[in-house]
Amino acid sequence: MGREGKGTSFHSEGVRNSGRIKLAGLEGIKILDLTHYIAGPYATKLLAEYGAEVIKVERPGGDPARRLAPFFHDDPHPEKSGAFLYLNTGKKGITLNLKTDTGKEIFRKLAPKADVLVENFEPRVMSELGLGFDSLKSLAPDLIWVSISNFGQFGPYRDYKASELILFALSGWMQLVGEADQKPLMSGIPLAQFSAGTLGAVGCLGALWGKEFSGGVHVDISIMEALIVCMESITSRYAYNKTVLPRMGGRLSPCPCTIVPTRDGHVLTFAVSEKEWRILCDLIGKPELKENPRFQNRVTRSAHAKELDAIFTSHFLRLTSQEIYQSAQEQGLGFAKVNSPEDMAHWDHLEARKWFLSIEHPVCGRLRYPGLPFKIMGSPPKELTPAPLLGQHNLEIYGKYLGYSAADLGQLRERGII
Amino acid sequence: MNMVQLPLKNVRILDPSMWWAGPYASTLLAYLGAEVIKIESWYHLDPWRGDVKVPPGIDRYPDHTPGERPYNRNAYFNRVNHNKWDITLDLRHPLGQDIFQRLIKVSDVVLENYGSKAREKLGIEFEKLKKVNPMIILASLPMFGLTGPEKNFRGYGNTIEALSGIYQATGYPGGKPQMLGHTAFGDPIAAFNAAFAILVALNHRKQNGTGCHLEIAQIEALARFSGLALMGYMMNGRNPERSGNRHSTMAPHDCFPSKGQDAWVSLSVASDEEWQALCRVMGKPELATNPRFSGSLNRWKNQDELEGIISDWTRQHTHYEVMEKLQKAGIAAGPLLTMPELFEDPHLKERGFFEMVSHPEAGTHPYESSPIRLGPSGDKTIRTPSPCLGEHNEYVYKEILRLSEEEIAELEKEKVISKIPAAIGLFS
Repeated sequence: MGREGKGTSFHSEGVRNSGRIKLAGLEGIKILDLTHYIAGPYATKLLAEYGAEVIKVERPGGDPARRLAPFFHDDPHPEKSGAFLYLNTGKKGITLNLKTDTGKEIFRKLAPKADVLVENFEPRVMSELGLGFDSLKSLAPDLIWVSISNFGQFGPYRDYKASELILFALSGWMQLVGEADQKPLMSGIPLAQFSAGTLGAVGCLGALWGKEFSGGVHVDISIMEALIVCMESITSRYAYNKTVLPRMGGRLSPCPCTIVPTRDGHVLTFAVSEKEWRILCDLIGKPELKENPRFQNRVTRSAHAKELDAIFTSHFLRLTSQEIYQSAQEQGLGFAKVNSPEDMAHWDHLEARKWFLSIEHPVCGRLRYPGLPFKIMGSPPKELTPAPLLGQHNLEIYGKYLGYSAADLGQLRERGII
Repeated sequence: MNMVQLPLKNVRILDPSMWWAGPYASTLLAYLGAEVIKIESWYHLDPWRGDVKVPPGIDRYPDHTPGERPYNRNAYFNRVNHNKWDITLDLRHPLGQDIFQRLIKVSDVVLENYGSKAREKLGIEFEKLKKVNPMIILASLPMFGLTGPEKNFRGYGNTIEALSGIYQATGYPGGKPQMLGHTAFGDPIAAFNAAFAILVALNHRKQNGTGCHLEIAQIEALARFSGLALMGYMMNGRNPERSGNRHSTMAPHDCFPSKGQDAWVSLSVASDEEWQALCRVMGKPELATNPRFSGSLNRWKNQDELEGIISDWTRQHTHYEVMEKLQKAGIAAGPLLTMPELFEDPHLKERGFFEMVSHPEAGTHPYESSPIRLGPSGDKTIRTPSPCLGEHNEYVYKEILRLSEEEIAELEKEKVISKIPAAIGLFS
């Protein structure tokens, strides 16, 4: 693992900054984006947000995410899906039917123009189309290929069907969520898809960085595995001691770490160390709990968790979530409000940080969108364009990269190719 | 993986970060070939190592036995620090600062997740680092960000999970919000985002010719995962309801009891063809023509009734059997694996997902491989086990910094690189 020279490798032609304007980082990197639904589009969204040129290739009927709720004013129109709008900001959109011979031919011409191809089809799809990694190797030897799939590019489940629910089940996580005497619960947000999408973006830039000496690499992200690595505090205890944890509802160890109702919602109560426990007793005006042998350490507190819940609930039910959050945090306790989307949209802290972005879309107008995952201090974020309308950039992209005219495109459209 | 040269082999990361989020970020980059030097000190261990003196019986130590140096045997730590060097260096000491600066000169990235006071005390501030090496990238992982009214608020992974809308979205219909069981995934999600941010910054440096300071506010990185619900609120002014495992349009879409105690299998039906296939596999072809279940809207309206019918069938089979039968018929299904089943799962086995790694003080155990595979292949991704405290002092100080014997003796005398840790008092 020795270090081999200090020099920085320069992949792709990139864009060199002339000085004035700070670049976001990924300008000049071209991504051919064959992704659909959530995981793949989230990976390329991240890349687009920091300056990569992402060319989203949709089938002529559009990314099926265009049919995913929520919809603007509840109108299930393909340009009004909030999911699609969110997951495709900053990208350019073209249409291409990869099931036709001409479509394949066009794809083979486009691929060598890109630095990276990202796709999240079932693993068999690209090779069945005759467009697998190996068959493109001779056309585009340095192309980085990022595949995000449910179970990865090989293994007995490779071609199994899955969804967020199934992946959450197979990761071993679902068995542990929910109440002991009820059925297990899945996560209320598509955690698996977003996790794998983020890792796809990491794999993409990692492989691209070493392109000069590693060449065109095929990055294999399994969504199931992306979930499992988020569970290390569970898997590590099994690996070392065969510990099998129970489902315990809204409660974790070390106790207390519990969701408690308040006057207007819920809060997460939290005390990790013994010092924090003592602060918590004072916070709720019950210093005598510190001396109570039933609560003297995390083990005994866990054994009497229900009793503690009742004590907390009777105290916190009189207060608002905001009051509890504020006062606990002022004492140095890591409490949280259990926020709804509405709470988040009106959260002073995010407001002061100007986190939400305002983006104008030709059909849905100006909306606030969730902001960036990180900031480069001192560099203003890149202005993001809205998600593309279906085929919006056909003329621009096919013209720029393949020299097609409007007449050529008209013909291709008639033949159902774009 | 041995076939290709690892792509980040020319990137060096100094990592004084602690707990899970920071260390796992540098581990992700280490899997891809980055050289990571983890910095701890005698007076401040990474708390993910646990404490110095630990009572027996805790399941984070092999065989519930903390041993002489429990901090080298902790399961949490040993799971997330593969492929890196570990040094002890007291950054509060002037000599420690001097060594730190020499390391900064030969590194690309510094990664930290301290509060503002500790950052100042330890000299991990961008303005200072930049003077030493103008190309340096500093990645900071504050919970709430470096600015804003709540910038000094504290939290753990669970804190930001609650704040980012995830607990609110999870729960039984009509029930209270639920936590996601025994883990704090806010940490690994922050790690994924920090690894991404560092890679963007390397490109940013290439373009702009200078280093930069990255701010990965963990709450913001995670809040994006609630993006669909946030868009729903922004577009229509409504919060979603908790709906258990049920889907807004698909039915059935849930977990069902299978043979065995507390054993469950999940399945979802996305089309009429899949529904008909499910009826065939269950041996109930008459259901396929029952108008109460024809079309997804009817199935959705009558899913309480469906739940009973499907449960009667799933109860007769193990969860793996249900998956096999349904997947063969083109229906999405999967068992709710328990930990013993996960570690023995045939798919993960063939992918070599759990790698057996021998650790000098903790013994041999299975560890998750890198979630990013270059290949695709089942080649090993863990090159070296998570390091013992100060295990690579000699390598880093002698081979990388080329310190003389005298200099090292001086550092040892001044306790700057001592490997004998003080208790951190986490659990007392």
